[in-house]
Amino acid sequence: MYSREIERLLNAGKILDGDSVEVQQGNSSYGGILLPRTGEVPEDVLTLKLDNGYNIGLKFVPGLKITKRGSPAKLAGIPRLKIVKSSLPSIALIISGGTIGTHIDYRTGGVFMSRDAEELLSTVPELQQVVNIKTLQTLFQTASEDFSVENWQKMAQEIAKAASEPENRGVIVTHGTDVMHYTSAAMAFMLQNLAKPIAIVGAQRSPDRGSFDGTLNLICGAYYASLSDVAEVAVVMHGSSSDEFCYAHRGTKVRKMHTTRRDAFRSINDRPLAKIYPDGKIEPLNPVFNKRPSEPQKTSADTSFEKRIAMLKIYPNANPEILDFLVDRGYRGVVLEATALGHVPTGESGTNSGFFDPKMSWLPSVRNAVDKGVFVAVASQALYGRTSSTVYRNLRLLRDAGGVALEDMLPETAYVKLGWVLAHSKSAEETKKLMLSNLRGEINPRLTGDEFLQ
Amino acid sequence: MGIELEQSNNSPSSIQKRRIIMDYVDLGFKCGIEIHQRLNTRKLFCECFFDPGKGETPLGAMRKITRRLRPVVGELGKVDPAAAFEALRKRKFTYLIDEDAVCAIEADEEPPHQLNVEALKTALVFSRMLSSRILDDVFVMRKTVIDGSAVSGFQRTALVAVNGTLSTSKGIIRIPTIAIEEESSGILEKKGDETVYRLDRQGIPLLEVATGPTLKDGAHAMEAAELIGQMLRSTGKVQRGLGSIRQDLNVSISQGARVEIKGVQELRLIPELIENEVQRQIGLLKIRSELQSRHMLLGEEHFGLHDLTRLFGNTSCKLIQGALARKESVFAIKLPSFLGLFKTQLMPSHSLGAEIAGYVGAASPAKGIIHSDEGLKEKYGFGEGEIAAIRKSLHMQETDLFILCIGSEDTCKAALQAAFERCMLLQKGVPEETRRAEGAISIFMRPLPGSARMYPETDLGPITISKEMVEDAEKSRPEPTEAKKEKYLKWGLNLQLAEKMVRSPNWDLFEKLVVASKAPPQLIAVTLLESLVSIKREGFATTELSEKTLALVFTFYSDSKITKAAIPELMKLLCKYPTKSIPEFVAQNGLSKLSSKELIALISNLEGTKEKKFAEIMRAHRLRVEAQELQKLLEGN
Repeated sequence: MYSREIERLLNAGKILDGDSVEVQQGNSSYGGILLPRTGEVPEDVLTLKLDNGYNIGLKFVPGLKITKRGSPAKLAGIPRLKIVKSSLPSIALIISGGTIGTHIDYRTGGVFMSRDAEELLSTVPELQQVVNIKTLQTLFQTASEDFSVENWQKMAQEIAKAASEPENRGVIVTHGTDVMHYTSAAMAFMLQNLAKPIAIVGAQRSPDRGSFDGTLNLICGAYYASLSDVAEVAVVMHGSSSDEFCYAHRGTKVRKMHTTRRDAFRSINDRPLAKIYPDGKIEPLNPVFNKRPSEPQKTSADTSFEKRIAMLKIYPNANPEILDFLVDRGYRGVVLEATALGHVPTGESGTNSGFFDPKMSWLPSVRNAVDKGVFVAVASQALYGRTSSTVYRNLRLLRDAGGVALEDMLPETAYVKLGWVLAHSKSAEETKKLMLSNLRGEINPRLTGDEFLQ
Repeated sequence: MGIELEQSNNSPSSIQKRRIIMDYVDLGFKCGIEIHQRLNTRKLFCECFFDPGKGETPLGAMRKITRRLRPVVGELGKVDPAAAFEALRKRKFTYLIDEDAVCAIEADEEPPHQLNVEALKTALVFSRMLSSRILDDVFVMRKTVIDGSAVSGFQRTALVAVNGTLSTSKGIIRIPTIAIEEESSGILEKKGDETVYRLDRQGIPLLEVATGPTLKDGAHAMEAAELIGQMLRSTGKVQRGLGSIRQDLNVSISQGARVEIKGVQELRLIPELIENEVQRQIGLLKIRSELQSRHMLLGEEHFGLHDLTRLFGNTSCKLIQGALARKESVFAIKLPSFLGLFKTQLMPSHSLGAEIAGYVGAASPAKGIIHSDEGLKEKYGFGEGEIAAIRKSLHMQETDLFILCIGSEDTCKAALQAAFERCMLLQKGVPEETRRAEGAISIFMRPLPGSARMYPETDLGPITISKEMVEDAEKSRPEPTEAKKEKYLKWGLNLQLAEKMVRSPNWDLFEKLVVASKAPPQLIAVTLLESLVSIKREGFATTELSEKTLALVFTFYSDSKITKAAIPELMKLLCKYPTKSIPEFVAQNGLSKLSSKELIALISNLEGTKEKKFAEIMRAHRLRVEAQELQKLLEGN
């Protein structure tokens, strides 16, 4: 809302946002387009886009005059690019939102998520020179930090449908980068009999700028989906800060490791599946993968998911009553993002400074949780490396209390897997068995060391 | 008044003659300048600091990243034409990262931090120095740039003030805008499709000052540039050295068009540059009428690309021999009725042929063109037979002209297409464009960017400029030149030195040294304005002398540890070995001043007259003895 004085002036002159105006403030006169008010400037300030292109703010002063000045420049809409059929390999494109699917209101600078697929295509016209987009669907336009289980469920169903379409060689899903690695894990577990590559693609920079990284990611994602023989869900993003190549990271072994870098996504405890170049060259990097079957196969989505699960980080002074709270509230599973090899405070490590308060031991709470049927999974906040339930005394105590160390699984992947497994098992033993089975490459039995910090 | 275009004479007297002939007012001459001055603060949107005095990091020691930038949609729903032009080249950009001066923000891997407060304050102060109206809210904008010089594909810029004024000898001129923006990265080299930039200077704050198009002529433009430059330097916040200030000119005549000339290196070249541009525009208009009189309407239908590679199997032209060895080709196009036009001198040493070559170079990797208005035999070693064969293949008339390009097929296509398009434009007159200053002439750089180029920086909010900030800026205005001069005169500088120092870019260094050491200001001034200049001329690297070093040298002098004569010698040595400790250096190099005791001892050890002793001691210990002191001691003896 503008201040009263400004409202009065605008109403008197019948001046609306977008009108071409002349503003007289003191001795100076300014010609330009009146921009809509955003909450960023004080309410007694008018925002104008001057004829020279700059946006400026002008404060109301007594005697300020605003007059309409000819008809404003028609601001054309965002261009759209129609899908053109071609004989290139076909894929399905599913839009779910994220920065890759944003556009900017060039006048105000506001960023909007309201883009449909044809607008997205206009920023990456090259995509249609790489693949034939057989089906295009806008699933949602959500910032991924607001994603919830229902988003995953709907997405898995649509991917399964698109992947079962015989002409589609694979599927590309555009997604926000914040929780991309959670989604990639969710898709990996929910999709059954996956026979084609699923590329999950996003952007760290916005499409309005020349340095938009989404282009390379989409193109490489398209190559992954159409040309590779890896029938797995993968996050396809820049492999370095340069625009040279992308990596396809196994969806259950990937994490966002930087807030803003183009190559924020890294494979953790695994080598990327492949290195993909913008000319279509695909260099396989990982000998372990699910190969595209020679016979067509129908992919389905099994989307049942237990939502009452949580992740808890362990740290000095972590109070186990937090776990008690979750158990009391009916949570059915908890992933402990434990320290190092999978430790929680126990007071029983053998060397004690005398300061440890026995009430801060997590063992009783873990025992209590397990007794009440809550599954307690243990992953490491170190992210890299394998957890253990035997190497130290208190690791064994944790195991004996019922905590289950999950090999080298990422905490985020463990969380997603736990939600899916709990909805599909009928007993604690079955849950444990499934959690420790390598369903979708989320466990790497061989860590050679060259995957560390790559 | 008739306009004579001299076809080939570029001598100063002919320029003089042209000057007399051309009346700028009659021509509808318009000219403005735009000055970009680097500030010596931290970078505009991050905490990095670019130190121009720091030694050059070897290129091999720098990390690199490569990017490809794409054209994006401007506000009006269409791609910016300049951006589209660049995209045609599909170039790869490599950026070298010097970690001392570059962080993730320059590499477009982190969003910008808040606008540098010191830089903003400097902009506000300067705005008040020009009596301009500071805006109530300042918005940082993104200005689309995709020639690779801005890693993100845009340059951040913010308008700070409007409607300033500047007094000149030819009246008051308007300064419509004062903006603050970030410096772009520095181009290192361009190899075909790849351009290499260094990121260290990206993000340095630039103060942009623009005049209106009301400058009366070249001399007026030069004066305005000098005045603005001096005022900028008086803030004490400007960077010094090569590249720290850039001047761009805008020139037009009524029948011509607005042309931007970027990167004027020396102010004294401005009058000539402007004149040459006016010449060029007049020349283009003349060519247009000539084409009309030849009844030649050049259209798309006249474009015919011919592969003439096979004609040069036995050529003695070295250029083509080399190309054929590289499996490249020779392509040609014909320009009907264009005979002789490419010889037209648009500017000194710059024919229409050279002008067209400029467009070719900007649109393709081709290094140049060959055309039939040149001496094909003398210049390139073409054979008579080859020339005839070319003419035959192209079905040329006597009055036609051909253009050849040597290179890959793609390169030749792009090159000749660009040449042809520019030739078609000759019929329209003068196109609006951006050119690059090279000495006193200019070369085509790119089409003038359209207005659909700026949109708000979405990562930062607007900055409210409070009444207090404006008042502060008003109060912080630096001492005007006259007051400074009076101050220097009071300090003991003679009039000539005082006037020189006031205009010198080192005035603030001078004032700091006066305060830091207790040496006489006159001596410091002479050293800075004269001794340092001659030392530099002798080839010494005076940029190695930091403020701290100079202060120490002068302190040494005022502590009577060295003589006045020793100062230049000491400085020469310090240029070579800047990190040496001065006391050590002085002792090791026999520069320490002889004490009175030592002098007396010397005097007593010598035989002869006072004059003889004086001469003897001065000869042997010139740098260690103050003549006056020695004289006094000899008298006293």
